[in-house]
Amino acid sequence: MKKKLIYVFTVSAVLMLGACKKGFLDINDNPNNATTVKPSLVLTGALNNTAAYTTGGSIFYSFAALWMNYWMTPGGVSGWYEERSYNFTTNWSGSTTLWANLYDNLNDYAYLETQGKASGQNFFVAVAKTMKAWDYQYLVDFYGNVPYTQASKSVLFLNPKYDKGQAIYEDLAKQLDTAANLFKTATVIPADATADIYAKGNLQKWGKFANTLKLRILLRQSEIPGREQYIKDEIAKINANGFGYIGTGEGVFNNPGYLNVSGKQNPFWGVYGYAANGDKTSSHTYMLASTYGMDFLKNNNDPRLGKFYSTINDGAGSTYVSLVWGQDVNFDQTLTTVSGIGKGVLKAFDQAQPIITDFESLFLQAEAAQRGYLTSSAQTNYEAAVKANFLYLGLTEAQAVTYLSDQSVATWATNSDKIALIIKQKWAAMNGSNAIEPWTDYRRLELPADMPISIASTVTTKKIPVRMLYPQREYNTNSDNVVAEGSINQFTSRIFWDVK
Amino acid sequence: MKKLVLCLFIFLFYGILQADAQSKNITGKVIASNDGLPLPGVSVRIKDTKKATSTGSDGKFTISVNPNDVLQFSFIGFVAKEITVGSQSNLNISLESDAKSLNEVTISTALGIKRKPKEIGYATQQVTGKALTSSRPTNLATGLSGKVAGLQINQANNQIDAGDQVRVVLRGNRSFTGNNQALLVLDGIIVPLSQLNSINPNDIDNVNILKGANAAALYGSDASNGVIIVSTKRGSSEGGGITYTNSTLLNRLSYFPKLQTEFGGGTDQDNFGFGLYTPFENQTFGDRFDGSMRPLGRVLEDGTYQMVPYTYKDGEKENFFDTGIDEQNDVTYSGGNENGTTYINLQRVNSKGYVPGDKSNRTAIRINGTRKLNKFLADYSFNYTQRNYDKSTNQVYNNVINTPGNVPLSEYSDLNSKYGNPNDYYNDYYYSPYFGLQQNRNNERRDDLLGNVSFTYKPVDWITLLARGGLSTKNTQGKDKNYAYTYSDFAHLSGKGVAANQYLKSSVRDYNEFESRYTGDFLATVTKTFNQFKFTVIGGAQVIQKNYKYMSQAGNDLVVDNLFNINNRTGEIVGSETERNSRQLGVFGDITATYNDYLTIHISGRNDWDSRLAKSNRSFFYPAIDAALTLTDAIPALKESKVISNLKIRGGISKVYAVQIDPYKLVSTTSPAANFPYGGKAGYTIDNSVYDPNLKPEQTISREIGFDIGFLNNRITLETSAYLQNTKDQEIINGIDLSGTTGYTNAVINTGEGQNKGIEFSLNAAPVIGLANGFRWNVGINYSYNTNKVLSLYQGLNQLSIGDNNYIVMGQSFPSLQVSSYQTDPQGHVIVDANTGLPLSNPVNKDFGQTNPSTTVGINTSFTFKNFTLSGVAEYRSGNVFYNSFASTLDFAGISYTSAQAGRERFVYPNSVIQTSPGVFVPNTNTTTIQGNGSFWSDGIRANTASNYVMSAAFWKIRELSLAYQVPTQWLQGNAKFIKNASIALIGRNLFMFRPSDNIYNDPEINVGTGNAQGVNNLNQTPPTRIYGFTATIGF
Repeated sequence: MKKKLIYVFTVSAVLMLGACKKGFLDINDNPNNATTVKPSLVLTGALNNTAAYTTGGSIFYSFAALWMNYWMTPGGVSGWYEERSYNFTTNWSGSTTLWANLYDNLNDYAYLETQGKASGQNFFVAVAKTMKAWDYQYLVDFYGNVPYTQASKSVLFLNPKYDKGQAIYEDLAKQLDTAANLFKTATVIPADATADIYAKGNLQKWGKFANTLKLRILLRQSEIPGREQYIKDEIAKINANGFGYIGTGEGVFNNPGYLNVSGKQNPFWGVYGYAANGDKTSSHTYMLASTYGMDFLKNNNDPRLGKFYSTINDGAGSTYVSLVWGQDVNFDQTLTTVSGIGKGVLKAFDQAQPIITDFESLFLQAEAAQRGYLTSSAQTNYEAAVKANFLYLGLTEAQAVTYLSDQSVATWATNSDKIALIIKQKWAAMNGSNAIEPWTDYRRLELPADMPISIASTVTTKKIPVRMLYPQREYNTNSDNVVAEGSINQFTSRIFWDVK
Repeated sequence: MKKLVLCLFIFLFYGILQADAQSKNITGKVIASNDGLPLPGVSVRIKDTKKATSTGSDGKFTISVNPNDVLQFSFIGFVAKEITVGSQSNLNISLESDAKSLNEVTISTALGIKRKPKEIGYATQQVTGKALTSSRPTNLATGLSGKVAGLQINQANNQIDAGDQVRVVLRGNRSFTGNNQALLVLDGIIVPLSQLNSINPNDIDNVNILKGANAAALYGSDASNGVIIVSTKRGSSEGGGITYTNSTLLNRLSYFPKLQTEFGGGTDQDNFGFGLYTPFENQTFGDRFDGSMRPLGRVLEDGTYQMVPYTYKDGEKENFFDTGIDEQNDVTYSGGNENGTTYINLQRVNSKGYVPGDKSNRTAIRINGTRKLNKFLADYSFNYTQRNYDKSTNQVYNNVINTPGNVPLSEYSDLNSKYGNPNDYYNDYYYSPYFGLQQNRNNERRDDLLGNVSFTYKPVDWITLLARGGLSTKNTQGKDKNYAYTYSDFAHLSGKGVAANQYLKSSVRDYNEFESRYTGDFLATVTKTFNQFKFTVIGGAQVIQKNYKYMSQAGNDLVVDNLFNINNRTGEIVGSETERNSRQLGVFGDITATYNDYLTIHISGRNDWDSRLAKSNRSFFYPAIDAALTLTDAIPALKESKVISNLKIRGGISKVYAVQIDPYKLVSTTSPAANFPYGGKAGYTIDNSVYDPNLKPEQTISREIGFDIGFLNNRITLETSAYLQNTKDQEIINGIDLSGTTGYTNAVINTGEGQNKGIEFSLNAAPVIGLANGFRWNVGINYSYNTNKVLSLYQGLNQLSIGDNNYIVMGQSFPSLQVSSYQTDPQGHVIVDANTGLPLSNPVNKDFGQTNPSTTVGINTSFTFKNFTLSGVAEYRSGNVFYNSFASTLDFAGISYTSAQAGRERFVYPNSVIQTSPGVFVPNTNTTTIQGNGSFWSDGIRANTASNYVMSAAFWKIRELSLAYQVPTQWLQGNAKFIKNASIALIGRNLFMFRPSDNIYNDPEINVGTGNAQGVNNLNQTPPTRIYGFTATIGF
């Protein structure tokens, strides 16, 4: 017994000391999360997030779709004070969500660019540059001056300084040139092509996307005095790479393989459509037709009416009913009695999410041609844009042709103000696929000129806001830099390209 | 279980039949020679036998003896005495106090090392098992409340599984975001604090609290927050015995928020702004009660209405809560001889929660033992606990609150009744609370296994070698169940809000959590005396390994209703997995040198290696020194003093490094991007936290001084301490907030320094009054004052949010509460809008001060007379604020007392001012609020302004009250010989609370969690309860 005890005693002591052996403490490798992943995985995640954070996300509609008179809020439910009154703060989701999401997304593209450069995979570098331009354009369009040169640098710059919006725009144009040129020479291995959920590794498609994005960036600056030569010079660089622009049927869409599972549906459908079990989502019941938006279709015999909007009772009724933007609503003015979002934009849980549509690109080209930036025909581009929109909604080209010839609001020849025509039709077409671009066009051009202002009693400044406010978090965490931007007002602190 | 108890009884009776027939009973009384007071608890033993008894509270004893027997009387602190019985039948024994033997009292300090109080240079306080369990707490933590100066225990919640939700802090907060909770050591082995709830309080021999950081050298970093050393009982080496204890405790709602009783259900108002009755409303903004019969709810399918009188029905919400019952049965065997001991305890607790339908049970077995063989001693303890919970996860309090005062809520308890069934329940918008309880439920089983084995080897008298291994595991398996329900077509089509979705499908989530901790210790102790010097040198090594794993799987839209199996789902399984593993190694040395038995200097040092840090930072050394000087021994003049019997001064300083972060917090990570994978398509994103690969451990330097003084033979003792602790390189475990433009939203880095300081007094008088007839009155008072301050934060950062409205703010005590508030003028008057009369909201949060109490007082007292003992514990806390976030729902629902104070009419906001020009404020005397009904109280700025619900968290609580009766041993000897002792006690816990008059809402102790963020409650906690019942113990 005694011997046994000595044995046990010694063994336990030795076992314990044995713990001191080498490597005993080297167990801090993370078993839960990868610390490095292949760039292609980040590519897929980042592209999908861009879709969910921008054109597919509710934040691209929640205020702009109301301000642009596409949609209107129902009775019986309270809320939408900021949207209806235009009075919002630094804590409002419009101010906070866009900023947080876009910079989050940018960090992924920064990683992709670094990894791509390190491994010599120019495809990743070019995609990263293109998508960074996409995100930064929106950041500048929402907030004006934002951190750019020192952003996404982790602890290297814990308080990134703000760069001028125009300087950022100019650099984005350069980055897109670089991207397009890289797309010309890059190679894509099949595995990476699968990871590319926008274009399946199609470099032509990416080249057109980069060019179209750059065209959008340049057109934004159309109203800045003395900017014409810069714009033309930059367009010459686009033309030099030979990819051209996104044409009919060449729109860029995201589809990771949306599933009819909560959270895995198309994000726009998931918010404004139906839950996986078929129940209407709450936002589906909240977003009803706005009179200005619906009347433009109704009054001009537009076959898109039944595509952009449902009949009352969520399509079960026979009439189309709308509400005036900002009106007081009764508890019975709900989806049961008013039109909601139509099946032309709410197609299915697995609908591909438009990033940039062919019709948006064609409208951009039409405007650029009309301004003399492009040599192509403005009319051809314009009419192709309207046709493309009809096709997107599930209508026919013939219906578009009829509309273009019969309705004075659409006919090229009879409208003397071509820019006003293009922008109004662009506004009509963008319903339910991107409400931010029409708001931005409105800020740039004050078009459509008759865009109604909210008639809500809470409105104190009868003007559609010209920007978002910097988010409160920025005042908390990067306060010196954001305070240096001065006092920001949503009605008067305009973005650099907003000079009209 | 019942059978087992029965068997034990039969076994016992059999043994008793063999009692010795020649003996006779003698009785006697033992008193102390110095004051003549009776001595309770004196051991009376017949020499060379196992027969023994002890004196009762009156000093009296009875024992059956033979004339030749020699009786031995022994009591700690007194010289033992032997008396030959002879022909005497009544003995009066007087024992001399023994100054020398008092010195033999030892206190278990770190690693179970026993030290004399004289040798301890830092603050300790001991609580005996008996003091702990006098009010039969079902968990150890609540039994410690109010009994130790500087120890703050918060029972955050009182639902059925809330036993684990206890926050235990000694001497306030040091770390901003890291762990500040005390270290728990069970039988020498460090175990997670959550094990407090699985230790059976009846198994506890004593609890010793080391308040400062000086034990850190021996236990490692975690001990910088103080240590709670729990020693469980070992078997008695003087024969065997069985004890059976039953405790039955009732748990009743004690404090409900103060409610208005004037207005009934409604939300709309007439053209004059007066409330209108709506029969199916959850809100209570209707017209004034008038006693008329009115319909309640929508018209039923049969065309009728439920008709109820339009009056306030008293107690309907309060009566929703049941009387909870805890029934606890314990059987304990304790026995052994000089070669070994065994202690076995079996425990079963059946609990019925005070939330209707909640229930739980706990079954525990503990086996402790020692075995001696020559120079070896083996000591082991094993404890297995299984707990089962069946509880609702529905936010039932919210459903109860959203019930107007005219609603006879308790009539709806039957979900099949005419008005109680969910289709016809009156409320359009909220579930019937009874229905809610049924719809969302959770089952959980927790298996805890604690075990440790130690071998001690004494090759020679002055060397002790100890090897010890300990294991604690906690395994939790649970299932969340959301039940299906199909509303009737009638209910669905009627427009009833809750029935808008006609078919609620069931869903399920399964989860499993495993936590284990292995500790191995090796210690060598050398004790040597050279002339006047005594040295104790300890060298040791320790290894700790912690493992954690969590997995969950959930399935939605179950195909077959209420078949809660993941295979029955539609769609994908939603699952998650988390694992954490870490290891620590420590090597330490500890030297105690005592000169002439009155001066002790203690020096220790430890080097740790921690797997959580990078190689270059992983090794760190920390030292400590403390000293104690007993002046009553050192100074001859004092030694002679009749008044001062003991005076010790002590002081110490220590440095401790602590790693606060979880494993894997050095390198940024990636995760599947939101919603991925889409079938076979994967996508990743960079996570939002950035880490410092060179993170250093957090450093705390603690200094403490104190003196202990005893008067009148230590009848009155006072222990005092003052401490100052500085913690720098704070590890912000969840990161400081970063601008998102950096690409990350938070950074886990070392930043900032905090200072924590305070004083403690512990005054005990035993007895205050002691009379010859056996009456004794003992009092103990514990007082502590603690305050802290943020000295620095990350560059340029003024404050740091740690969640739940708690902030770390430069220059202030931490954490402090910040919530939204009204705009005020420089004098603090609320500014109202000149047109609307409504208070203006302030976009900047207002700071209300600290959420931890600065002052705490605990008072323990007991009165003993004859066989009765009345004891009580009261506790006071103040200096902090708390935020009743749930109370905004009371306003929203319109049931709050405050919401009816202005009669639901427009009113001039009290003490308000109007700004007439910038910086110029005039008192508002006549501008009334534009609304006075629901649109003010419920929808507007009132319910959204959190400062309306912030108030002082001060309270006095009667924590414990018990009246115990010990059946006289003489009586037992005469009437029930087989019973050695028996007692019965009436007990109450948290019976009364006294709080400031503006606190009409809640018990400030109730809190959202047990983290550093304190002082906030919400609807997930139910109202406080008081506990009362009885306990009976029989020993054989």
